[in-house]
Amino acid sequence: MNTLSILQIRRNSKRTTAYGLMLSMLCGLLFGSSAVAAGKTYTFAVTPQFEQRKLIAIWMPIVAEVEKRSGLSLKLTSMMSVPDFEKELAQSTFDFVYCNPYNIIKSVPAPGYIPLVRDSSPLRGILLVRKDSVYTKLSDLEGKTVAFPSPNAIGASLLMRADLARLHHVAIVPMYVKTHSSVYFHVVNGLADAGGGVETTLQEQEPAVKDALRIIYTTRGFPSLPVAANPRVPKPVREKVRKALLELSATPEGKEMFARVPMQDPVATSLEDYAPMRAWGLESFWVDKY
Amino acid sequence: MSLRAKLLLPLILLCLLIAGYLYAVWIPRTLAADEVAHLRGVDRHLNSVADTLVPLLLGNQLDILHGNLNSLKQANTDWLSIRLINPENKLLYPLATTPVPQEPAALADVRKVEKQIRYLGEHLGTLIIQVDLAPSLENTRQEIRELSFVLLGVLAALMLTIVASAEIMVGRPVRELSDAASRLARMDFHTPLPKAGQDEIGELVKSFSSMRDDLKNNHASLVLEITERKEAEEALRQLNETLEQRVRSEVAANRDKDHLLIQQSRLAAMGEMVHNIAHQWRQPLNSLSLVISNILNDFRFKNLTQESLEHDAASARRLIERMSTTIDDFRDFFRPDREQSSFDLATAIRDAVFIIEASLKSNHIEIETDIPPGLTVSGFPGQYGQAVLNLLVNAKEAILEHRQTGGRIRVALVQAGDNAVLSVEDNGGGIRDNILPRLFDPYFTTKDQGSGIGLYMAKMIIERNMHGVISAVNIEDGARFTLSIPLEKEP
Repeated sequence: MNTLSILQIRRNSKRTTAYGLMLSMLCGLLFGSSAVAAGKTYTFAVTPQFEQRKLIAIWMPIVAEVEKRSGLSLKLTSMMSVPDFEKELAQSTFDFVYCNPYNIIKSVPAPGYIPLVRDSSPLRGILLVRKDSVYTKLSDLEGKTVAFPSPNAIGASLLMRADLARLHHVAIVPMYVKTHSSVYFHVVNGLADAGGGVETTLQEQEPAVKDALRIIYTTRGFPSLPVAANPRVPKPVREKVRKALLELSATPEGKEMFARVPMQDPVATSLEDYAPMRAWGLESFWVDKY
Repeated sequence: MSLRAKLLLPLILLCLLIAGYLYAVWIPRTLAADEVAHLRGVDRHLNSVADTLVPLLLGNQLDILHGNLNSLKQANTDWLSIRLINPENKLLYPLATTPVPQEPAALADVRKVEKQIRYLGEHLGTLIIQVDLAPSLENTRQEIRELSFVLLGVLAALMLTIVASAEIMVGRPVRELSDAASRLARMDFHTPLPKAGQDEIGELVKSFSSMRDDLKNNHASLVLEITERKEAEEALRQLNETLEQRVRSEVAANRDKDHLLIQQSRLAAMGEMVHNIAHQWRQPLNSLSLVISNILNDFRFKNLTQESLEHDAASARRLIERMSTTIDDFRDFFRPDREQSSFDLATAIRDAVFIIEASLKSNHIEIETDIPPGLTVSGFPGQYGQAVLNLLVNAKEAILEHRQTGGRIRVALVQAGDNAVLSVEDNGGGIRDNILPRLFDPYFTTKDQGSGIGLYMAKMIIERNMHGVISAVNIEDGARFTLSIPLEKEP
């Protein structure tokens, strides 16, 4: 489990990414516990939906606990930006991931990731303006700058932009600011007229941020971000991780840890839970390069 | 001003100067330098921060940017606020809901530092920091305070040392000397003096000790002198107490002496009178003896007749009457004056000359007189005649002692201004110079049979009773006595 104390943050370039992976694997080999010394160290990648320090602070205890409970050797990792993360995801770099559900659907059938655990509550995308803003309805945002974490963030961006364009016919100027928190900060400070997020990440914000925002639109619900496994990971290993996650979530300490993800009530999931999203026609709003 | 104050004053002034320099020059300069150094450090720090913010600004990663700047603010507690604005002057950090920080001017030690963030020439934003220099300056101030305390402590210790040294080496010995001087002023010569060292105070102590010894000796002499003077004063006091008695005794003795003198003078006058009467009577007695012899011869030779007897009886009777008159004249001359009166000097002088005239004649002494009448004085005529007689007797005796024949006395009366001057000159050989000053002293005489009273009585009569002057000078072959008496003023 000591390997978790070493965290490698991947840089934008391929070169630094390769170096980072090699370094993380090397660290895993060098500092791995005796229980897993002979086995494989699996990477556990988390989508950079928050600022890196916050991200690590949330996930490091969980991964450590899963490692302890499963007896596996896990290596927590992330990337500096969602595009970098998605790029690595597309290359099936990671063994376990906590990622955008659309990544699950988009990569299926091959090679695909197998969802293991998700929050029982569905996610909903939200569109926010400043509490003192003059914008009260979506049509007010015509031609306005709207901040999004990234183009492909399922609730905050992908589904929201699709709804704005197709359901409400509002043309906005998107502004991609990397993370949900960054979206909220942009809106609060007036750097964007509105911003897309999800309810769970909004609730994670400080009151000073949360209380300064007003939701003017909410998307339909969809299954929350899952912890998924690369199909190359042996099923016993996948199950160990799922079991460890669920067992941990059953404990008070675990509940507290998952609440910060946020994942209030982790439950077992499968690819079938996310299949309906394929029919939403979001592909045209997906951006490969940005 | 005490010595201690005189020593302390320049030291206090020095301390004030140092304190003034510290607080007016050195401390502000040090604080300014500290501020510059601190701001320079902040600037360097901001350069690093700006570098790290460039990718975040380029990627719009406001959450990471906030996280970084939050961490930065937490790490730098002296940074009161951090603000980041974009080129459009929109606030990037902190949240717009964050209270606006105080303006730097509101806090004395707060400074505003701005750092432009650029990348490839593009202005990405401006970082504005409010830096509270108080903690850093407080450290410097604390160091300054400690340094000031140490410096002032050293100065205080130096002052204390100097004052204590001055007290031990100068103040205390001087006070002891002062105390000794005070006690010396009260004639206490046994006050212990401070130990004499090899310095100036030691020299002073030695000088003081020497002075004390001198004073001690002088005081002893003075005490002795005072004692003697007191004894003399006591003796004088006792003398004064007995003076009256002694004066009375002396006065009585003088009275007795005067009485004796008067008695002696009377006796002398009596003897002179008898002597002069004898001279006056000698011729009438011889004549009377011849008359008697004539009667006896006439009777023996039977020539006695009634006519011759009556003639001789008449001659005898005339002689006896003449002798009786002489007795009356002498009695009148020597009769004491009862009271002061106005009299003609010529009369008094002639009476005196008459008294002695027979005696002079029998001694073959010629007397020459020039006594004009009319010079009147107020006084005692009998006493004046007595004084003239004494001068004439003195002249006669001088002549008799000096020569056998050719004796001569000259008596002359003249008026000199308001005075009547009588001179009595003789050729009796004069008076020896060594005798002249004592000539009128009582009982002083050069004669074998002299009493030493005559000239003294003359001086007393002329000078004391008649307010005149008596004097004596030598002249050729004799002496001259002069009596000067003020003339009676005419009414």
